[in-house]
Amino acid sequence: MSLLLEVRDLEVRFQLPGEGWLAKPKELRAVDGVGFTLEAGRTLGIVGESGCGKSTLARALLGLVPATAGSVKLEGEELTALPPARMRLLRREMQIVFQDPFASLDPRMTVGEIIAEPLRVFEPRLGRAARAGRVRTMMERVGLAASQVNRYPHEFSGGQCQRIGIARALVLRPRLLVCDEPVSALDVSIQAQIVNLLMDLQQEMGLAMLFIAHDLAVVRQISHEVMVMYLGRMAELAPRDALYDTPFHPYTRALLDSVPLPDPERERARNAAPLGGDLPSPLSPPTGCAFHTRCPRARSRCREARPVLQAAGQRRQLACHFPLGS
Amino acid sequence: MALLEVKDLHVRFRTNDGEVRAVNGLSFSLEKGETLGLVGESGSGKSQAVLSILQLLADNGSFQGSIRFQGRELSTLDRKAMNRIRGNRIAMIFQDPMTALNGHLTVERQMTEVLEHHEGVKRREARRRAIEMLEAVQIPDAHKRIRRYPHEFSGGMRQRVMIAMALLCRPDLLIADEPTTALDVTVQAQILRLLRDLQQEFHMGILLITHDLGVVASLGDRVLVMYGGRTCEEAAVDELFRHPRHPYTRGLLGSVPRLDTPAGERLRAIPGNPPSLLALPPGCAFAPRCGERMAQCNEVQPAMREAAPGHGVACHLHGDGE
Repeated sequence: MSLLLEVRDLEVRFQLPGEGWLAKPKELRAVDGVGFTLEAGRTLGIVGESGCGKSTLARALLGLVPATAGSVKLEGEELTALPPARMRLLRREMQIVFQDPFASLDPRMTVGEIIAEPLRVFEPRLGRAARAGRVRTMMERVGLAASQVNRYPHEFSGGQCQRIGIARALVLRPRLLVCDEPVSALDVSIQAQIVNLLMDLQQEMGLAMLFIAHDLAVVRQISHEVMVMYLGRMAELAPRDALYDTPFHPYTRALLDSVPLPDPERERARNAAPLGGDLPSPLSPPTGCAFHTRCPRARSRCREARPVLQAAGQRRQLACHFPLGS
Repeated sequence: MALLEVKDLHVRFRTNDGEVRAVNGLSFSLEKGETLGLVGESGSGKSQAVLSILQLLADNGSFQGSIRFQGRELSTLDRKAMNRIRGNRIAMIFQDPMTALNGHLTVERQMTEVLEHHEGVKRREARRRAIEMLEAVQIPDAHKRIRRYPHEFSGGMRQRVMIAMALLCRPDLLIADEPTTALDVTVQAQILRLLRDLQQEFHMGILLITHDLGVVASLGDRVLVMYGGRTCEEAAVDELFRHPRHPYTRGLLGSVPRLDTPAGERLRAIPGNPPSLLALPPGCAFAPRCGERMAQCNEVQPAMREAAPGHGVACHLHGDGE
C-alpha cells in the first residue's frame, strides 16, 4: 500500500470582524492541528457535530481555503506552497462531492455537459467522440442511463443528481475523492444506494476517500479508519472497529451513546444520560481541553492544559488526559 | 373515544404541472397519552397530512375527509373556531425553530401573548407561567433568559423554547414535525429525552413525524409507515420493528446503516426512486420498486388488512386466502 495523502499539523484560521468598530478582529480557529495519513483504496471517515471544522478541513486539503500552517502532501508533494499553475494540474487527482446535490450542479448545463466539463479542462485534446464515450461510460457506471445525457439537473431526483455529481468527480479518474456529507440530504432508501455505489467505485478504481459526515452509522458503514473532531481539534483517530467497539475518548463514547437505534427494546433499556450542555462557540473555545465543559470525566487538569495528541495503541491517536479504560 | 381520528384523508395541490396527490386515503387514530410515529420519506405525504389537521395547507392545497379531535369534527370548523384550537388544544413544533419563533420579539413577549390570547390571563401571571414552562424544558436561568431574543439562544435551546411555547396551554395533542432533524446528535439525544419526560408529565398525545427510524424507536408507541400518500403498514412499535411485513418497511429497515450490526457489508438498498405524486401508478405505489411484485400489484391497490392483532398491512402478499 502506498501513502497517498499525508497531512501534518494543519491549521486554518479565519479573521472575523470584531463587534463594534474599534474592536479587534476576532480569530476563528476552524481547524487546529489536524494530522493523518491516507492510502490508496482506503477510506478515512471524519465525524463531528456542527462547527467541528470537518468541512473546512476538506476544503483546506483541496486548496479551496488557504491553510494557515501545517503541511498537506499528495504523494510526497507539498501542496500548501504550490504555485497556482501546478496546483491546478494536481486538482485532477483530487475531486469532491458536495452535500446538496442540486446546488452543486449548474442548472443551465445538461448532464452530459456537466460530466464532460472536467474533461474539457484537463484533457482538451480529447476528440468530441472520445469525450462523449467517456461521459457515457461514466454515466452508466454510476447508474444513470446514457440516454439521459441531454437532460437538465431539475429533471432528476436528489439521488440521481448525487450520481451526476459523483460521475463528474470521477470522470478524470482521480486518486482522492473527498465526500462532504454526500448522503445527508437524501432519503434513507436512496442513501443506501449511494453508499453502496461509493464502496463499489472505490474497489474498482482504487480510490482513496475522505468521507465527512455527521451520521456515525453511515461513517461506520463505509470507513476503514475514523477521526472524531470537536471544535476544530482531533479528539480521536482509530481503525473503525476499534473506535466503535472501544472508544477511548469520552466524546466519542458520548456521540455513540447519543445515536437513537432502530430497535425499540434497546431504546427503552437505554439508561446512559445524554451529554449535557450545548456545543461551545468555536469563536471562544474553552481553555484546556475543548470538551471539558461537557465531559463527565473532566478534572481540573482538563481545564488548565490542552491534551496533546498521542499514539494510543495500534494505529490509534488520542487527545485526552483521562481516557476511558485507563 | 380516540383523541384524534382521521378517516379517508385526501390532500391535493393544484400546480402548473397538474394535480399533486399528496395524501390518498389516509386513516389513523391516536389515543390520549400515546405517541404515534408517522414515518416516510420525502413526498410520502406525512407532513401534508398533519398540516391539514391544523388547516395550515398552502393556498393551492385542499383536503377532504374526516378529522375528529376529541369527538369534534375539525374539517368543517371556520377560521375563528380553528384559531381557538390551534396553539391551545393542539400545538405544533417544527424542524426549524426559527420558522416558528418571531425574531423581532423577545421570548417573553411571544410566550405571554399565547396565554393572554387563549386564556385571557394578565401579563404578570402569564410571565410567571412562561418562566415555569421554560424551567420545565430545562432552560437554565429562565427568569433572566426570557427577556432575550430567539437569535441569542443556541440551536438546542431554541428548540426547547419552541417546545415550551407549544406546551404553554397544556395541549391535549402535540404535533412534532421532524423535531430533532436539524440538531446535532448529542443535542438530539437531549431533546428526545425531554419530549419523553414531558409526555409523562403532561399526558398529551404526540403525533411524531419523522424519517428517522431510530427516533421512532426511541419515542413511538405505534408506527404508521407511509408511501405515496398512503399507509403501507401500521403496528405497535415493537411489533413493527420485530416483524415488519410490508416489503417497503423491510426495505427501509434494511437500508439504514446501524451501529448494532456488522459494518462494511453492503446495505440492502431499495432500487429505483420514489413515485411522482403527479402520476401515481394505478396499483400499489411501491410496486415499481418492489422485489416481490405480482401481476395484480400493478393494477389493484391493496386494501389495509389486519395481518396480526393490531398490525395492519396494505400489501397483496398479505391478502386474504393466502
